[in-house]
Amino acid sequence: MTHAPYTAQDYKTDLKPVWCPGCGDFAVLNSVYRALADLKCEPHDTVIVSGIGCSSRLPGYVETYGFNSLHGRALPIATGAKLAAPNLHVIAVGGDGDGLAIGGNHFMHAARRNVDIAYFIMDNEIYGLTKGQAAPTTPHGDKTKSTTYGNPEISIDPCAQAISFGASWVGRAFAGDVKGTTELMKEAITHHGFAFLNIISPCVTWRGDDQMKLLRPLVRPVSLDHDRTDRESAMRFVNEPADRLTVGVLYSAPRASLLDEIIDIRERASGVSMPPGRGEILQAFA
Amino acid sequence: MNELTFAFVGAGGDGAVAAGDIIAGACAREGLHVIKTEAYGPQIRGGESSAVVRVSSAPIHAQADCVDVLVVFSWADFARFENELVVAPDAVIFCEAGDEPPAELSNRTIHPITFKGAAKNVTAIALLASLFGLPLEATRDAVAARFAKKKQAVIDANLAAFDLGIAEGETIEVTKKLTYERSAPHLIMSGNEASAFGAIHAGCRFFAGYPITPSTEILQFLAVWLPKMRGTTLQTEDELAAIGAVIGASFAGVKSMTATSGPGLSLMAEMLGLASIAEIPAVIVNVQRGGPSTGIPTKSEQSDLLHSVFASHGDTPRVVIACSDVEESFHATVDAFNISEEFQIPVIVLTDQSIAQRRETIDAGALEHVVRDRATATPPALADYHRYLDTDSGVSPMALPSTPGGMYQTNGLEHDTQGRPSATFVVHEQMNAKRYRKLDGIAERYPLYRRFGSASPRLGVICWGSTVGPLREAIERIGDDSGIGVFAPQMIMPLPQAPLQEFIDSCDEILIVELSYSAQFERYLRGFVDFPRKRTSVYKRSGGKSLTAAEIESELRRLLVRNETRRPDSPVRRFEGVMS
Repeated sequence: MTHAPYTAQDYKTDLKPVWCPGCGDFAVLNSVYRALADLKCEPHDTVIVSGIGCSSRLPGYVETYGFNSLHGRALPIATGAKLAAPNLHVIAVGGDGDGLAIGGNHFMHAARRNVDIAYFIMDNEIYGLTKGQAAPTTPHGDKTKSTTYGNPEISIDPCAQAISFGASWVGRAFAGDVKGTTELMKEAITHHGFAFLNIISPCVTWRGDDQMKLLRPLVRPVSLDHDRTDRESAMRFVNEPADRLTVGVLYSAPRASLLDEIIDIRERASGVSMPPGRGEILQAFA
Repeated sequence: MNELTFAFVGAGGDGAVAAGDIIAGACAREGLHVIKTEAYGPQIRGGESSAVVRVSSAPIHAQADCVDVLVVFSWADFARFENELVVAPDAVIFCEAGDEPPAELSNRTIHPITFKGAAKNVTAIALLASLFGLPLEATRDAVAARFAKKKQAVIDANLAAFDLGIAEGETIEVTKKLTYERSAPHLIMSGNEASAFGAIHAGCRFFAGYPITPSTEILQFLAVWLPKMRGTTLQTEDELAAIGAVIGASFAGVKSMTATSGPGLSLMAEMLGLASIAEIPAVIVNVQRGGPSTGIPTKSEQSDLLHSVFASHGDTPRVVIACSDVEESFHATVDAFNISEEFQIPVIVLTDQSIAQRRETIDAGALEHVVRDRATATPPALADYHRYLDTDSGVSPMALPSTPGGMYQTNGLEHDTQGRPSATFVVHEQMNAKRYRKLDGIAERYPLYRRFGSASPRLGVICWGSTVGPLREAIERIGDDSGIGVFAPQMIMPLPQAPLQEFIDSCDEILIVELSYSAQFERYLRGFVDFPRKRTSVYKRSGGKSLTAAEIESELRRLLVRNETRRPDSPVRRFEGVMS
C-alpha cells in the first residue's frame, strides 16, 4: 500500500490550525509538508511527536502518526518510539518554552545520546498559548506579561546549547523562508543522529505583528567558508547580536547514533547466538 | 529443628553479605526453603553490613522473628543493627576472640573464634555448616563456585579457610541442628529479579528507568538481559523521561516497562495521566520505601498505596496490582503486562523493599504465566479508522505506526473518537465513560485476591502486599481451628469488591493490617466496601521495619481473648501498632 510519490498537499489533514493569522508556524507547517513530500516519507512510517504549546499543535495538521503529548516531554517520547521502531522517521516538534524551559533537561540528554530523530523548535521568544509570558529565549530587558518591568534574565541561544550538549547536527532557519527551511528540515530528517533545527517563527500576537517584516532583512546564510564539522567555527554563529540572523547548517559531525550503540551492545551481549530461552536466564538463579 | 535463622554482621570487607549469599545458595540447591535479607549502614562502601538467612525444611513466608545463630565479626558494627537484629534467648553466638560482647547478650552461648585473614567469612560459613546440619559439600561447592573466576591462589586460600572452619567446629558442641530431607533444588531470586524476569516472560523488550533505591536491581537485571533478547534498556535522565520513553516505545508497538520507587512515581504522575487518556499500555513497577520525600530509602513501607491508586490530576483510570512475595512479583508483573496490553491502560505493580530486595527460594515451575497481547487495528477497522472508537468494552483497536491507513494523532488533550482535540463536555463525558468502562472488564476478568486461614472465619483479617506473609505464618502458629481467615486483595485497583464485601459480611469481626501510619489501606477500602460498624479495628504502624509474624500473632491472640470476654455491644476501638 504505497502511494509515493506524494505532494505536499497529501500530508494535510482536514483539521484547521488554531494559530493566529500571520503566525510563523503556518510557514513552518508548509515547510514540513514540502520536506516530507520531497523525501517521499511514507505517512504511515512517519511519527511526529510534540509537547504542549501553540506550535505543539502541529502533529494534528500532518497526515502521519502523531503524538501531541505533555508540556516539555516530546523528546523522551520520541526517543522511546525511535528505539522501539527504528524504521520510523521520528520528528519531534515544539516551542521554545516547551523545549528549553520545562523540557530543557531532555534536550540536553537527547542531544548527547544522539538518538536518531529530528527536533524542530519553533522559536518565537515568548509563551504564546498562555498569552505572552517571558520564555528562555526572550531577550533581556523585554517587557512581557510576566516581565512587566523588563526581563531580568538573559536569553539563551538553543543552537549554542545543542552544540555544547553534543548534538551531531545543528541548524537555524527562518520560518518566513519556506524554501530554505524546507531544505534544512530535509537535511535534519535524513541526518543520522540527533538533528536540531531552531526555526525562528515570529509570534505576531505577543511579539508584534511586524516581527516577520523586521526579521526578514536580518536573515543571512552561513558564510561560504564555514567548516560545519568544526565546533569552534559553528560557535561563531551562536548568541548573535540582535541585528543578525544567520541561517543554515551551523554544525554537522555525524557519529554513531544511540541505536547504532544499542545494536552494538546487543551483539556484544549475545554474539550471533539466538536470544536466550527462559532456561538460560533462570540458570542465573540456580 | 526444621528451621534455623543465621545472621552475619561485620564491617564492609568482612564478607557478611557474601556469607549469607553462599549459605542461602547452598541451601536452595539442597531443596531447603530460604529467605535472605540484607541491611547496610548509610556508607557507600566500607560501612557495616548484615545478612540474615532463614533456612527451613518447610515452606516459609516471612523473615524470622529472631536470630538463632549469630556470627559477629565486630561488635561495634553489630551495635548499629541493634534494633533490627533480635537475638533469640537460646541463640548461639560466634564472635572474634577478644572482642567484648554487649552486656545484654552475655547470657547467650558465646564462642570466641579467631577468624583469620580476608576469608574470615568462609571460615564462619564452614563452621556453621559443620555444626548446624547445613549441607557441607554443597556449601563447599558454593564457596568454590563463588571464587571460580579468581586466581587459583585465591580459590586455595578460601578452601583452606573453609577447612579451618570445619576444624574449629570440631571442639564445639551445639544442641540445635537442622534436620531435613534433601529434595529437588530451588532457584533463589529477589522480588526485583522476579519482576524483571516476569517482564521478559511477558514479552517486554523495552525498559527505561532511572536508578532509585530499592528498585535499581530491575534496571540492572534488564541491562544485562534485554540486549540479549534484542531489546533495549535505557537509563534516562530522570523518571519523567523514563515513563516518557516507555510511553513512546509502547505507542510504537513494543511492550515496555519502567521501575521506580515513591519519589520517582511522584515525578511520573503527569505521564501516568497521559498514558491513561491516550490509552497507551505502560507498566510501572513501584517498589515502596519509607516516605514521604526521601524518607527511608532502604526500608519498606506500604505508604504509596493512595498515591498509586490516585496519582495524576483529573479522572485517571489505572490499574494497581500488589504482590506479597517473590513469586507473586513475577505473576503480578506478567498480569500487569497482560492487563495493560489488553486494555490499553497504565498498570502499576505495587511492591515494597522487603519483598523486592530479599532473596527467596522459588521453583522454576512456578514461573509460568499465560501471556496476552494488544488488540491492534486490522483492515476492516482501518477502512474508517477511529482510534478511540467507543466500544462496549471501552477498548478500541490500536493502529501501530507503520500500519498503512492507520494514521491518527494521539493526544493528552481530551479528544474525540478519531483523536482530534475536543473541549466539549459531551465528548469529555463520553470518553471518560469509555476509559472507565475498561476497569469494569478488568474487575470481572481479574478479581485477584488470596484467601487463607479458616474458610468460615469469625475474625476476618484484611491485608495486602508484604504483610500477607507474616500473617500467614501467624495463623499457622495459632492453628487452623482458631476461626481466623485472611482476605488479601492482589488487585488493588480495581478492587475485587464483591468477594471482599462477602468476606467482610461473613465475619463477626474485622481486623485491617498495614504498614502505613495514616492507615491508607483502611481509608481506601472504606471507599469501596462497608464494614460492620462496631467490630472493625486496624493494626497499623509506620514502616521502617517489616511486620513480624510474632508481632501480628500477639495482636490476633489478643483479639481472640477479648472476643471471649467482651460485651457484644462494646464501642469502636482502633488499635495502634506498637514497635516492639
